[in-house]
Amino acid sequence: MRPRWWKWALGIGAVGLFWWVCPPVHVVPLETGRQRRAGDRFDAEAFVEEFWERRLLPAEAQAIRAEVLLGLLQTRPEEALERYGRRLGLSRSTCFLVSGQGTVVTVDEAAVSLALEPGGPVAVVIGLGPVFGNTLRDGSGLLDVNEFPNSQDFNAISAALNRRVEERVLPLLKAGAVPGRTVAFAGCAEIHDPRRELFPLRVVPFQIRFP
Amino acid sequence: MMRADRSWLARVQSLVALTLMVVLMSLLSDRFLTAENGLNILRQISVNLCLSLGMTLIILSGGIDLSVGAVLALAGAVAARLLKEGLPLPMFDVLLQFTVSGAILAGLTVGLMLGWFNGLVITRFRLPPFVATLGTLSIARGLTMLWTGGYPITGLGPAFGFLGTGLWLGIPMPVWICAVLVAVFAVVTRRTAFGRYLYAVGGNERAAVLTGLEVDRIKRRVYTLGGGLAGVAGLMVTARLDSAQPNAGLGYELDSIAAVVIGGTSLSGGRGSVMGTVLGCLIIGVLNNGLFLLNVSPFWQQVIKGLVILAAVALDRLNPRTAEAGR
Repeated sequence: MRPRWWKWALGIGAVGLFWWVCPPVHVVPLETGRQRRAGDRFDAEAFVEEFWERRLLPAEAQAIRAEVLLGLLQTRPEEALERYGRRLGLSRSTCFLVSGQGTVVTVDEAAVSLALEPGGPVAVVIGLGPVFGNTLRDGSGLLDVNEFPNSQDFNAISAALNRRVEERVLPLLKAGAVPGRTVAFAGCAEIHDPRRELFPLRVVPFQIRFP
Repeated sequence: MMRADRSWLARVQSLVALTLMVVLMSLLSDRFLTAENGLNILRQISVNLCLSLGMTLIILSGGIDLSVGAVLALAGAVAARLLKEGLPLPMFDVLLQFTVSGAILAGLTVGLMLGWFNGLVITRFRLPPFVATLGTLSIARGLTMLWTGGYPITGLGPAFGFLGTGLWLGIPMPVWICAVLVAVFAVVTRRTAFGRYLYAVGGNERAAVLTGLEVDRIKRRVYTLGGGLAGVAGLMVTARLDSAQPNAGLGYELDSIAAVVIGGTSLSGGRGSVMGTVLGCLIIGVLNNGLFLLNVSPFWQQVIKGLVILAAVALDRLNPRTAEAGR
């Protein structure tokens, strides 16, 4: 009968060799490990900080005027969707990068409504409450999901953009919007079906000015 | 003569069915019989094949394991989180940062431990395997939710992802892994004492006890191996998706049982083979792939898969040995 210790020695030797060739774990001080992990993690807030200043605000120059978009959506919706719309993946809704100037018609806790022509109907509504969804991220057309390693990071950008709108843009509008005052805006709008829900255009703004 | 004919038919029925299906699908779709689609089918069946190998051993020994899908999920989640976040040990003020090999080892260990637990519960407390593994299914699902917090763990890196998406000599890594496992377990079941004990225990447990076999020990080993293979499957799924999903592997246990049964392994134990299971997985894979290429609704695909399983079991009844066992 062969001695069993041979098997044990062989097993321990194999494990030792494996441990030496491909070490399964590295032991590091807890604080160092935490810092390294924090460094590896995607910082959506920092990304949005830079994206906002360097890419989003300058993109206002490429935005289609709201009155032009609304006119085109009424007359030639297919062309409007094709030329100015942006869709992500299999989504059925379309986002647009829009800008414009209008007169405040009403202001309440929930929203500010604007007429694009003096004395005209309400054509644009800017919500004042919490911002949900991916309208700003997808409507800008500046971000490609394939540039991010996973969808969680991509979604975190949306959340950070929305938070920034809530904290920095909407308070400005809330403070300055009074009926009759002129407001210039740039932002993104999302439309599911231009035949059913065109008016008013609901815009998530990234830029508000009172000329 | 009639009995011999039926026995021969039972042995080759899976191969005949697979050949017929390949011929039929090739005639119906010009995209079916291509090298790319062949590799695609092999890649798609690799996870089920890995689970089914373990299930074959367990069913051969007269048992069943309903927990493999849940074990797959937990093994994948443990590997993913350890790889991504490591294991903090505050009492020693250190963090164990797991490398890819460490995460793989951890996932495998989880699978082996849960499999061993199944075997222990079945042999020590004499619980029916159906009930014992159903309990483990629930435990593993709960532990996966606790471990992940219900969220996917993503971004595991290319080195780990190679296990699921990498190619070697133009063939996907999961296919290589499965090929090695099939070769190992084909030899184990046919050419080793453990393999013969497996058939003996599944064929007639009482006779196996009377001949002096350590039946409980053999069963514990079988369930441990089944858990380990579920761990391998979990690592492959996680690597392929580059994410550990808390709900991964839902319903996979039924797919693996189906593959084993279609491959001619008797649910009453003691009869069947690893190669039969490979054919069973290929039949399911070809069926899924062919029906997809033919634009058949996924709902109809489920119906057709169910009918194939019923046909396989009905054909199995033609085997004289099965008929005798049923009497």
